[in-house]
Amino acid sequence: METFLFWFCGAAMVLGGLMTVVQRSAVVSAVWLIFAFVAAAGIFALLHAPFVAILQVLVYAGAIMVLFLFVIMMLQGPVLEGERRRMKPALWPAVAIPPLAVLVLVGTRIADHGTAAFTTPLPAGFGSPTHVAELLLGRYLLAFELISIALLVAIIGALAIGKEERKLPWK
Amino acid sequence: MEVTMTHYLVLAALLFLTGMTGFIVRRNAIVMLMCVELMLAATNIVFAVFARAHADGGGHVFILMNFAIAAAEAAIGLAILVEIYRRRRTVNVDDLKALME
Amino acid sequence: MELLNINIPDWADLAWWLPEAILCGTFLVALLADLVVRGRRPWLPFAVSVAGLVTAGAYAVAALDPGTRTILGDLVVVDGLAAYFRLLFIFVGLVTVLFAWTAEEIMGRTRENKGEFFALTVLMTAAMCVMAEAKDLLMLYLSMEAVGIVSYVMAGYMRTSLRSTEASLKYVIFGAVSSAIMLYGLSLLYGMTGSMQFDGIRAGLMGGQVDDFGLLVAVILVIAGMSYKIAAVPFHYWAPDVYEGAPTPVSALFSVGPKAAGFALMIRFFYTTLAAGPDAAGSAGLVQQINWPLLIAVMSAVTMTYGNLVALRQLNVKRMLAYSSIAHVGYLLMGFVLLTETGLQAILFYLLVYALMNLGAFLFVVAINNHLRSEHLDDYVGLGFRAPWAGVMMVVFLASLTGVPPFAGFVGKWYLFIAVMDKQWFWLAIIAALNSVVSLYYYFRVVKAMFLTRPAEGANLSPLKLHWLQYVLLAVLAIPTLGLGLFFGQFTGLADRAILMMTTGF
Repeated sequence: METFLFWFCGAAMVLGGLMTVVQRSAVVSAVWLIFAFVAAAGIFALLHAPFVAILQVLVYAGAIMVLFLFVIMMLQGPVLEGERRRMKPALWPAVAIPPLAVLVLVGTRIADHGTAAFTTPLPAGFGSPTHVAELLLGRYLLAFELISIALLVAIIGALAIGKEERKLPWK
Repeated sequence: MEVTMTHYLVLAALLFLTGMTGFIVRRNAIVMLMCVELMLAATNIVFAVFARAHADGGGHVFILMNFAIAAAEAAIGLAILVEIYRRRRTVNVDDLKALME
Repeated sequence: MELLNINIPDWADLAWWLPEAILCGTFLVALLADLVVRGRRPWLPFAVSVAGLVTAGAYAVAALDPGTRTILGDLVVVDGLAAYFRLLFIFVGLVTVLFAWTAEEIMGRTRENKGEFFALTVLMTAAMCVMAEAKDLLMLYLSMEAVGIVSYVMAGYMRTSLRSTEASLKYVIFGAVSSAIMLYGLSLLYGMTGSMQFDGIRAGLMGGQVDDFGLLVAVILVIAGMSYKIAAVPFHYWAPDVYEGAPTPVSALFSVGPKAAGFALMIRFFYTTLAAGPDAAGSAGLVQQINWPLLIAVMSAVTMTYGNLVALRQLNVKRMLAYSSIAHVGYLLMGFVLLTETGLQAILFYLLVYALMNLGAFLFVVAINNHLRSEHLDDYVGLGFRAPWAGVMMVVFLASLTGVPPFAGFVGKWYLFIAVMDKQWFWLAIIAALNSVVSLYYYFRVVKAMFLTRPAEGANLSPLKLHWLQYVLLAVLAIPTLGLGLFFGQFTGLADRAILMMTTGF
């Protein structure tokens, strides 16, 4: 069962990624990207990371991609047309394959090296919301605080950059 | 065939390079940002693989932080794009002078 | 039943983190203050920011000798290195905020969002401090991204022209892709060693259970990501456009702060995780198969040569300073080649000197821009007589940037040269020396325009009256630039101690 799910989600994810890249229209790209992200959530679930899988769907495929789609819809027409690609599609594999070969080699070598394997027994509740929350509010509390401030800056920045006039809405 | 760590790592490498290739060959700034999101998703999978392998929840925390960073970068990038589009009526990086050098 | 089993490791040393806490608080208060006055009284967020920076600075001075303190667990550490950089960043932040107050580009009548500028500068200072303190991959990544996000925002909305908006788009998109690349490297490091802690990674590497090739690829990916942040060739292309497009106080901050923070982070990361030990095979002795010193040396040589050669062609003083700052990254990398203690001390000292002289040069450009609305070299003709005091101080900064004795830049460069010549890397020292000669040409072209070129008939030669705060700040930067060249012992001692505390602390 796990094997089937892996191949299913993996194939869907790679297909989604490829279609994101090759589709000429930004809207269609975005939809395929959502598809890829949902498939990636399946992969996370297979890797015993249920909480991450849920958030992948909620935050990534949900919120972030909706933001993308919203912007594309807002800009409409010109965004979708007139893109001159940098090189012929026939040449794309030439860009992709050498680094891919390196990363695949790295992946297989690390896996074969045996410092890490999937045989490590997992504690009960590994990757559950409770487990992640304990880490997030315990050991990683400082990181949690830092990210909250970074997000605040992003919100203020996006508002300040995106506003129509020179004045911020609250002024 | 049993699914091993190798499978997951190769899968992540595939996704990462798909994103990177897209980033190199596409010229639409929105799609370029989407390709970066693909690359980030691929690194998240690597983190999840190793979190599983080492039975260490720290990897999951890293993924969650990465979600937040990705969201923040996307928000700022899109805001700048909207601003440029408003003035130039294009988000095609070929038409943007500063980006061409 | 207990719902969550949370254990925060250690509250004891939290007091050592007061400066960062104060800065974060200041950011929030300044933002709120700006919101309350609805942006109409920019002096309020300004005053809050200055007060916060001064308080944090006072605490940072008091905590200059922290030993090794880990804060709330083991994500960040306050040690000698962190204390040194913390002080440097707070100084840079304070100078930027004060100078921005006098800059028309920020405070002009038609300008908006004045309050946010002060708040964001304070936050950037805090994030840079964390960069110097991170001892965990998660914190390393987050602090870099926090600095990145603040700078994207600053570059994005404090725009001066359409071109600068486009430059900021380039900055965000390529910044995002470079951090994704670095992140892949970090994830591989985590996977191979099973730890996100720097010392845990080191232990994993020492255990010898790690795949060589995987490690090599991981480290190269990480170096690529970090090079983007410090703007080293070949990851420098964003810098000139962003520096030119942003308001000059922002460029001044960008060209000093994040760079120094990037070096702080690289020093800690490479020294405590990858170096095989003091004075061993250089930057990443635990990663074999590749000649690390040579790689970094080539990067250093290419970076300084590129920066200087392109700077030669620039007629816009601000853009020239942008390329010169790329060249200075090349000089700084010289100290990184062998990762010896001498080299690291040289980097620390040079960063201090570089902060003084580069801020000074940029701030002179700000002061002149207030009056002339131009940064073009032709408009600098005769400035030496129109604003003699500021002009003389600019000459001090430029001479120091060139590395002419007796200015601080000379002493700083001398230490960097010693670091490579110590280990017989003469070719790099020669290239650096030749580069300094090249840089003499374009730095002194500015001096020539200000003092030696005869102004055209009928040119406006009325004296320029600078804001009193500008005189004070330029003097605050110029006097140590001159003084450190003569009495450097005290400060190199500080740098030595900072490195010593880091190297013995882990």
